[in-house]
Amino acid sequence: MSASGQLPPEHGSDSNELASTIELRRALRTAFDAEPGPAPRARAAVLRRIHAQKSDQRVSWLAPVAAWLRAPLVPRWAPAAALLLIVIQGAALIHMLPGRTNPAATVTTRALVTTATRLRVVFNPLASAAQMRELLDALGARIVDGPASTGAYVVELAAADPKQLSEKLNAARARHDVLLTLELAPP
Amino acid sequence: MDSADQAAARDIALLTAAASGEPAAFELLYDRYERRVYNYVRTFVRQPALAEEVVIDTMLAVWHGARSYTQASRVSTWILGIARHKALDAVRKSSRQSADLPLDEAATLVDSAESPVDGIDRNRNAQLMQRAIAQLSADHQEILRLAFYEDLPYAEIAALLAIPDNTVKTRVYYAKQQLKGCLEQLGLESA
Repeated sequence: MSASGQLPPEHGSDSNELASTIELRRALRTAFDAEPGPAPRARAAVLRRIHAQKSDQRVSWLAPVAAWLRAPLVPRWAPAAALLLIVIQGAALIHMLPGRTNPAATVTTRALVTTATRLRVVFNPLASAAQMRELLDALGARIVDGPASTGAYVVELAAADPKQLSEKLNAARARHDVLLTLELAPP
Repeated sequence: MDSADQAAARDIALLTAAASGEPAAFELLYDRYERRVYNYVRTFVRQPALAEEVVIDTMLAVWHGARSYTQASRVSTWILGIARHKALDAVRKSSRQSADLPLDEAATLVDSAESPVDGIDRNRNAQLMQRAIAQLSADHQEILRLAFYEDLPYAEIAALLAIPDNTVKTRVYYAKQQLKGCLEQLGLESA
Protein backbone atom coordinates (compact mmCIF):
# COMPACT_ATOMS: atom_id res chain seq x y z
CA MET A 1 0.00 0.00 0.00
CA SER A 2 1.15 3.53 -0.69
CA ALA A 3 -0.17 6.95 0.25
CA SER A 4 -0.78 7.92 -3.35
CA GLY A 5 -4.50 7.44 -3.03
CA GLN A 6 -4.44 4.02 -4.67
CA LEU A 7 -5.72 2.28 -1.59
CA PRO A 8 -6.83 -1.34 -1.63
CA PRO A 9 -10.59 -1.91 -1.39
CA GLU A 10 -10.58 -2.65 2.33
CA HIS A 11 -9.08 0.77 2.93
CA GLY A 12 -11.14 2.57 0.34
CA SER A 13 -14.54 1.89 1.77
CA ASP A 14 -14.66 5.31 3.26
CA SER A 15 -15.02 7.46 0.17
CA ASN A 16 -14.72 10.67 2.15
CA GLU A 17 -11.39 9.56 3.59
CA LEU A 18 -10.18 8.57 0.12
CA ALA A 19 -11.20 11.89 -1.38
CA SER A 20 -9.51 13.68 1.49
CA THR A 21 -6.30 11.76 0.93
CA ILE A 22 -6.34 12.45 -2.80
CA GLU A 23 -6.91 16.14 -2.19
CA LEU A 24 -4.16 16.26 0.42
CA ARG A 25 -1.76 14.52 -1.96
CA ARG A 26 -2.58 17.00 -4.71
CA ALA A 27 -2.01 19.98 -2.42
CA LEU A 28 1.24 18.55 -1.10
CA ARG A 29 2.51 17.85 -4.61
CA THR A 30 1.73 21.41 -5.64
CA ALA A 31 3.64 22.73 -2.64
CA PHE A 32 6.61 20.41 -3.12
CA ASP A 33 6.70 21.12 -6.86
CA ALA A 34 7.06 24.84 -6.04
CA GLU A 35 10.21 24.27 -4.00
CA PRO A 36 13.38 25.66 -5.52
CA GLY A 37 16.30 23.50 -6.58
CA PRO A 38 19.94 23.94 -5.72
CA ALA A 39 22.15 26.48 -7.44
CA PRO A 40 23.37 25.49 -10.94
CA ARG A 41 26.89 25.09 -9.59
CA ALA A 42 25.88 21.79 -7.97
CA ARG A 43 24.96 20.27 -11.32
CA ALA A 44 28.10 21.70 -12.92
CA ALA A 45 30.29 20.31 -10.14
CA VAL A 46 28.86 16.80 -10.41
CA LEU A 47 28.99 16.62 -14.20
CA ARG A 48 32.48 18.11 -14.33
CA ARG A 49 33.81 15.38 -12.05
CA ILE A 50 32.04 12.65 -13.97
CA HIS A 51 33.30 13.84 -17.35
CA ALA A 52 36.80 14.21 -15.94
CA GLN A 53 36.63 10.62 -14.76
CA LYS A 54 35.46 9.50 -18.20
CA SER A 55 38.39 11.36 -19.80
CA ASP A 56 40.78 9.54 -17.51
CA GLN A 57 39.24 6.24 -18.56
CA ARG A 58 39.61 7.11 -22.27
CA VAL A 59 43.36 7.58 -22.00
CA SER A 60 43.77 4.53 -19.82
CA TRP A 61 44.85 2.41 -22.82
CA LEU A 62 48.11 4.35 -22.77
CA ALA A 63 48.71 3.34 -19.19
CA PRO A 64 50.47 0.01 -19.97
CA VAL A 65 52.82 1.76 -22.42
CA ALA A 66 53.57 4.50 -19.94
CA ALA A 67 54.18 1.93 -17.22
CA TRP A 68 56.58 0.05 -19.47
CA LEU A 69 58.49 3.23 -20.23
CA ARG A 70 58.60 4.22 -16.60
CA ALA A 71 59.62 0.78 -15.36
CA PRO A 72 63.41 1.38 -15.52
CA LEU A 73 62.90 4.59 -13.58
CA VAL A 74 60.93 2.99 -10.84
CA PRO A 75 63.04 3.18 -7.66
CA ARG A 76 62.83 -0.54 -6.93
CA TRP A 77 64.56 -1.28 -10.25
CA ALA A 78 67.22 1.40 -9.88
CA PRO A 79 69.61 -0.57 -7.60
CA ALA A 80 69.44 -3.65 -9.82
CA ALA A 81 70.04 -1.57 -12.95
CA ALA A 82 73.01 0.19 -11.34
CA LEU A 83 74.51 -3.13 -10.24
CA LEU A 84 74.12 -4.56 -13.74
CA LEU A 85 75.87 -1.52 -15.21
CA ILE A 86 78.75 -1.89 -12.77
CA VAL A 87 79.16 -5.58 -13.65
CA ILE A 88 79.21 -4.80 -17.38
CA GLN A 89 81.79 -2.07 -16.93
CA GLY A 90 83.93 -4.33 -14.75
CA ALA A 91 83.85 -7.12 -17.31
CA ALA A 92 84.81 -4.73 -20.10
CA LEU A 93 87.70 -3.38 -18.01
CA ILE A 94 89.06 -6.85 -17.21
CA HIS A 95 88.80 -7.83 -20.85
CA MET A 96 90.94 -4.85 -21.89
CA LEU A 97 93.75 -5.42 -19.33
CA PRO A 98 97.22 -6.36 -20.86
CA GLY A 99 97.45 -9.52 -18.80
CA ARG A 100 94.49 -10.90 -20.66
CA THR A 101 96.43 -11.06 -23.96
CA ASN A 102 97.95 -14.39 -25.12
CA PRO A 103 101.77 -14.23 -24.69
CA ALA A 104 102.36 -16.73 -27.48
CA ALA A 105 100.50 -14.55 -29.94
CA THR A 106 102.60 -11.47 -29.26
CA VAL A 107 106.32 -11.16 -30.27
CA THR A 108 108.25 -8.21 -28.99
CA THR A 109 111.88 -7.18 -29.47
CA ARG A 110 112.36 -7.09 -25.74
CA ALA A 111 111.26 -10.68 -25.49
CA LEU A 112 113.90 -11.80 -28.03
CA VAL A 113 116.63 -9.88 -26.24
CA THR A 114 115.91 -11.40 -22.91
CA THR A 115 116.10 -14.90 -24.29
CA ALA A 116 119.31 -14.34 -26.35
CA THR A 117 122.85 -14.71 -25.03
CA ARG A 118 125.41 -12.02 -25.53
CA LEU A 119 129.10 -12.87 -25.71
CA ARG A 120 132.24 -10.82 -25.88
CA VAL A 121 134.71 -12.28 -28.37
CA VAL A 122 138.20 -11.33 -29.51
CA PHE A 123 139.16 -12.75 -32.86
CA ASN A 124 142.66 -13.96 -33.64
CA PRO A 125 144.30 -11.24 -35.73
CA LEU A 126 145.61 -13.93 -38.08
CA ALA A 127 142.10 -15.29 -38.75
CA SER A 128 140.57 -14.58 -42.10
CA ALA A 129 137.15 -13.05 -42.59
CA ALA A 130 135.96 -16.35 -43.99
CA GLN A 131 137.02 -18.20 -40.84
CA MET A 132 135.31 -15.65 -38.56
CA ARG A 133 132.09 -15.89 -40.63
CA GLU A 134 132.22 -19.68 -40.48
CA LEU A 135 132.58 -19.65 -36.70
CA LEU A 136 129.75 -17.16 -36.24
CA ASP A 137 127.52 -19.27 -38.48
CA ALA A 138 128.40 -22.35 -36.47
CA LEU A 139 127.39 -20.58 -33.28
CA GLY A 140 124.29 -19.08 -34.83
CA ALA A 141 125.52 -15.67 -33.74
CA ARG A 142 125.64 -12.20 -35.19
CA ILE A 143 127.82 -9.20 -34.37
CA VAL A 144 125.75 -6.56 -32.58
CA ASP A 145 128.53 -4.26 -31.33
CA GLY A 146 132.24 -3.53 -31.75
CA PRO A 147 134.97 -3.58 -32.33
CA ALA A 148 135.95 -1.92 -29.05
CA SER A 149 139.33 -0.33 -28.45
CA THR A 150 140.47 -3.71 -27.21
CA GLY A 151 139.43 -5.30 -30.50
CA ALA A 152 136.52 -7.14 -28.86
CA TYR A 153 133.14 -7.65 -30.50
CA VAL A 154 129.81 -8.32 -28.88
CA VAL A 155 127.89 -11.10 -30.56
CA GLU A 156 124.40 -12.29 -29.80
CA LEU A 157 123.35 -15.88 -29.94
CA ALA A 158 119.78 -16.81 -30.67
CA ALA A 159 117.91 -18.77 -28.07
CA ALA A 160 118.73 -22.42 -28.12
CA ASP A 161 118.73 -25.51 -26.02
CA PRO A 162 121.27 -24.96 -23.20
CA LYS A 163 122.97 -28.29 -23.81
CA GLN A 164 123.42 -27.62 -27.53
CA LEU A 165 124.58 -24.10 -26.78
CA SER A 166 127.22 -25.36 -24.38
CA GLU A 167 128.56 -27.80 -26.97
CA LYS A 168 128.74 -25.06 -29.58
CA LEU A 169 130.61 -22.74 -27.22
CA ASN A 170 133.14 -25.46 -26.29
CA ALA A 171 133.77 -26.14 -29.97
CA ALA A 172 134.28 -22.43 -30.63
CA ARG A 173 136.77 -22.07 -27.77
CA ALA A 174 138.79 -24.85 -29.30
CA ARG A 175 139.27 -22.79 -32.48
CA HIS A 176 142.32 -20.84 -31.31
CA ASP A 177 143.16 -20.07 -34.88
CA VAL A 178 140.02 -17.94 -35.02
CA LEU A 179 139.20 -16.92 -31.43
CA LEU A 180 141.38 -15.64 -28.65
CA THR A 181 138.68 -14.84 -26.07
CA LEU A 182 135.08 -15.99 -25.66
CA GLU A 183 133.17 -14.88 -22.56
CA LEU A 184 129.75 -13.66 -21.47
CA ALA A 185 129.22 -10.02 -22.16
CA PRO A 186 128.13 -7.85 -19.26
CA PRO A 187 124.47 -6.96 -19.44
CA MET B 1 1.44 0.45 -16.80
CA ASP B 2 0.64 3.73 -15.08
CA SER B 3 2.81 6.84 -15.04
CA ALA B 4 4.46 5.93 -11.71
CA ASP B 5 5.49 2.54 -13.05
CA GLN B 6 6.70 4.14 -16.27
CA ALA B 7 8.79 6.60 -14.29
CA ALA B 8 10.24 3.77 -12.20
CA ALA B 9 11.08 1.77 -15.31
CA ARG B 10 12.71 4.81 -16.87
CA ASP B 11 14.77 5.36 -13.72
CA ILE B 12 16.01 1.78 -13.87
CA ALA B 13 16.93 2.14 -17.54
CA LEU B 14 18.83 5.35 -16.89
CA LEU B 15 20.65 3.96 -13.87
CA THR B 16 21.57 0.80 -15.77
CA ALA B 17 22.99 2.90 -18.60
CA ALA B 18 24.87 5.06 -16.09
CA ALA B 19 26.29 1.91 -14.51
CA SER B 20 27.76 0.98 -17.88
CA GLY B 21 29.51 4.34 -17.98
CA GLU B 22 27.20 6.54 -20.03
CA PRO B 23 27.36 10.11 -18.72
CA ALA B 24 24.44 11.21 -20.89
CA ALA B 25 22.14 8.75 -19.14
CA PHE B 26 23.38 9.91 -15.78
CA GLU B 27 22.73 13.54 -16.73
CA LEU B 28 19.10 12.69 -17.42
CA LEU B 29 18.86 10.83 -14.12
CA TYR B 30 20.51 13.76 -12.36
CA ASP B 31 18.00 16.19 -13.80
CA ARG B 32 15.14 14.01 -12.61
CA TYR B 33 16.44 13.88 -9.04
CA GLU B 34 18.46 17.01 -8.33
CA ARG B 35 15.62 19.12 -6.97
CA ARG B 36 13.93 16.19 -5.23
CA VAL B 37 17.12 15.19 -3.46
CA TYR B 38 17.91 18.80 -2.57
CA ASN B 39 14.55 19.45 -0.96
CA TYR B 40 14.54 16.10 0.81
CA VAL B 41 17.99 16.93 2.19
CA ARG B 42 16.71 20.34 3.31
CA THR B 43 14.42 18.46 5.68
CA PHE B 44 17.52 17.75 7.76
CA VAL B 45 20.11 20.28 6.61
CA ARG B 46 19.33 23.90 7.33
CA GLN B 47 22.03 25.67 5.34
CA PRO B 48 21.42 25.75 1.57
CA ALA B 49 25.13 25.62 0.73
CA LEU B 50 25.61 22.55 2.90
CA ALA B 51 22.52 20.96 1.36
CA GLU B 52 24.04 21.53 -2.07
CA GLU B 53 27.21 19.79 -0.95
CA VAL B 54 25.12 16.85 0.22
CA VAL B 55 23.40 16.75 -3.18
CA ILE B 56 26.77 16.70 -4.92
CA ASP B 57 28.04 13.92 -2.66
CA THR B 58 24.83 11.97 -3.11
CA MET B 59 24.78 12.15 -6.90
CA LEU B 60 28.46 11.28 -7.17
CA ALA B 61 27.77 8.29 -4.93
CA VAL B 62 24.94 7.32 -7.26
CA TRP B 63 27.29 7.52 -10.26
CA HIS B 64 30.04 5.52 -8.59
CA GLY B 65 27.67 3.01 -6.99
CA ALA B 66 25.25 2.54 -9.89
CA ARG B 67 26.48 -1.01 -10.42
CA SER B 68 25.60 -1.93 -6.87
CA TYR B 69 21.90 -1.17 -7.38
CA THR B 70 20.11 -4.51 -7.22
CA GLN B 71 16.52 -3.43 -7.99
CA ALA B 72 15.50 -4.63 -4.54
CA SER B 73 13.73 -1.29 -4.20
CA ARG B 74 12.77 1.59 -6.46
CA VAL B 75 15.58 3.75 -7.80
CA SER B 76 14.02 6.69 -5.97
CA THR B 77 14.14 4.81 -2.67
CA TRP B 78 17.76 3.88 -3.30
CA ILE B 79 18.81 7.43 -4.16
CA LEU B 80 16.88 9.02 -1.30
CA GLY B 81 18.38 6.47 1.05
CA ILE B 82 21.87 7.60 0.02
CA ALA B 83 20.82 11.23 0.39
CA ARG B 84 19.35 10.60 3.83
CA HIS B 85 22.51 8.89 5.03
CA LYS B 86 24.71 11.70 3.77
CA ALA B 87 22.42 14.41 5.08
CA LEU B 88 22.31 12.96 8.59
CA ASP B 89 26.08 12.53 8.43
CA ALA B 90 26.43 16.20 7.48
CA VAL B 91 24.15 17.21 10.33
CA ARG B 92 26.19 15.18 12.79
CA LYS B 93 29.35 16.90 11.58
CA SER B 94 27.79 20.29 12.05
CA SER B 95 26.63 20.65 15.64
CA ARG B 96 24.96 23.95 14.86
CA GLN B 97 22.49 22.31 12.51
CA SER B 98 18.83 22.19 13.48
CA ALA B 99 16.49 19.50 12.33
CA ASP B 100 13.61 21.91 11.97
CA LEU B 101 13.38 24.73 9.49
CA PRO B 102 12.28 28.06 10.97
CA LEU B 103 9.10 29.63 9.66
CA ASP B 104 10.75 32.64 8.09
CA GLU B 105 13.09 30.42 6.05
CA ALA B 106 10.28 28.15 4.98
CA ALA B 107 8.45 31.13 3.58
CA THR B 108 11.37 31.75 1.18
CA LEU B 109 11.14 28.28 -0.32
CA VAL B 110 8.79 29.45 -3.04
CA ASP B 111 10.25 29.06 -6.52
CA SER B 112 11.16 32.59 -7.53
CA ALA B 113 11.31 31.56 -11.17
CA GLU B 114 7.63 30.63 -11.28
CA SER B 115 5.64 32.68 -13.74
CA PRO B 116 2.91 34.98 -12.37
CA VAL B 117 0.48 33.58 -14.93
CA ASP B 118 0.50 30.27 -13.04
CA GLY B 119 -2.27 31.66 -10.93
CA ILE B 120 -2.22 33.87 -7.87
CA ASP B 121 -4.48 31.62 -5.82
CA ARG B 122 -2.54 28.47 -6.56
CA ASN B 123 0.68 30.23 -5.75
CA ARG B 124 -0.76 31.55 -2.52
CA ASN B 125 -2.09 28.13 -1.54
CA ALA B 126 1.23 26.54 -2.32
CA GLN B 127 3.01 29.09 -0.16
CA LEU B 128 0.59 28.51 2.70
CA MET B 129 1.01 24.77 2.35
CA GLN B 130 4.79 25.19 2.44
CA ARG B 131 4.52 27.28 5.57
CA ALA B 132 2.26 24.67 7.15
CA ILE B 133 4.71 21.91 6.23
CA ALA B 134 7.55 23.96 7.68
CA GLN B 135 5.78 23.97 11.05
CA LEU B 136 5.85 20.19 11.21
CA SER B 137 8.64 18.21 12.79
CA ALA B 138 11.37 16.86 10.53
CA ASP B 139 9.95 13.34 10.92
CA HIS B 140 6.50 14.45 9.79
CA GLN B 141 7.86 16.54 6.90
CA GLU B 142 9.89 13.56 5.77
CA ILE B 143 7.08 11.03 5.98
CA LEU B 144 4.69 13.29 4.04
CA ARG B 145 7.29 13.89 1.32
CA LEU B 146 8.11 10.20 0.95
CA ALA B 147 4.51 9.04 1.07
CA PHE B 148 2.65 11.71 -0.88
CA TYR B 149 5.31 13.23 -3.15
CA GLU B 150 7.72 10.38 -3.86
CA ASP B 151 4.84 7.88 -3.76
CA LEU B 152 7.02 5.30 -2.06
CA PRO B 153 5.22 2.19 -0.79
CA TYR B 154 5.01 1.97 2.99
CA ALA B 155 7.26 -1.08 2.99
CA GLU B 156 10.04 0.84 1.23
CA ILE B 157 9.59 3.84 3.52
CA ALA B 158 9.90 1.48 6.48
CA ALA B 159 13.11 0.05 5.05
CA LEU B 160 14.47 3.51 4.24
CA LEU B 161 13.78 4.87 7.73
CA ALA B 162 14.58 1.60 9.46
CA ILE B 163 11.24 1.56 11.26
CA PRO B 164 8.36 -0.97 11.30
CA ASP B 165 5.60 -0.75 8.69
CA ASN B 166 3.01 0.06 11.35
CA THR B 167 5.13 2.97 12.57
CA VAL B 168 5.07 4.35 9.02
CA LYS B 169 1.27 4.18 9.00
CA THR B 170 0.85 5.87 12.35
CA ARG B 171 3.47 8.50 11.50
CA VAL B 172 1.62 9.31 8.27
CA TYR B 173 -1.63 9.56 10.19
CA TYR B 174 -0.25 11.95 12.80
CA ALA B 175 1.60 13.98 10.16
CA LYS B 176 -1.67 14.50 8.30
CA GLN B 177 -3.41 15.52 11.51
CA GLN B 178 -0.66 17.96 12.38
CA LEU B 179 -0.71 19.39 8.86
CA LYS B 180 -4.46 19.93 8.95
CA GLY B 181 -4.11 21.78 12.21
CA CYS B 182 -1.38 24.00 10.79
CA LEU B 183 -3.41 24.73 7.68
CA GLU B 184 -6.42 25.75 9.76
CA GLN B 185 -4.20 28.07 11.79
CA LEU B 186 -2.98 29.65 8.57
CA GLY B 187 -6.53 30.15 7.34
CA LEU B 188 -6.30 27.59 4.54
CA GLU B 189 -9.11 25.08 4.40
CA SER B 190 -7.66 21.63 4.89
CA ALA B 191 -8.41 18.77 2.58
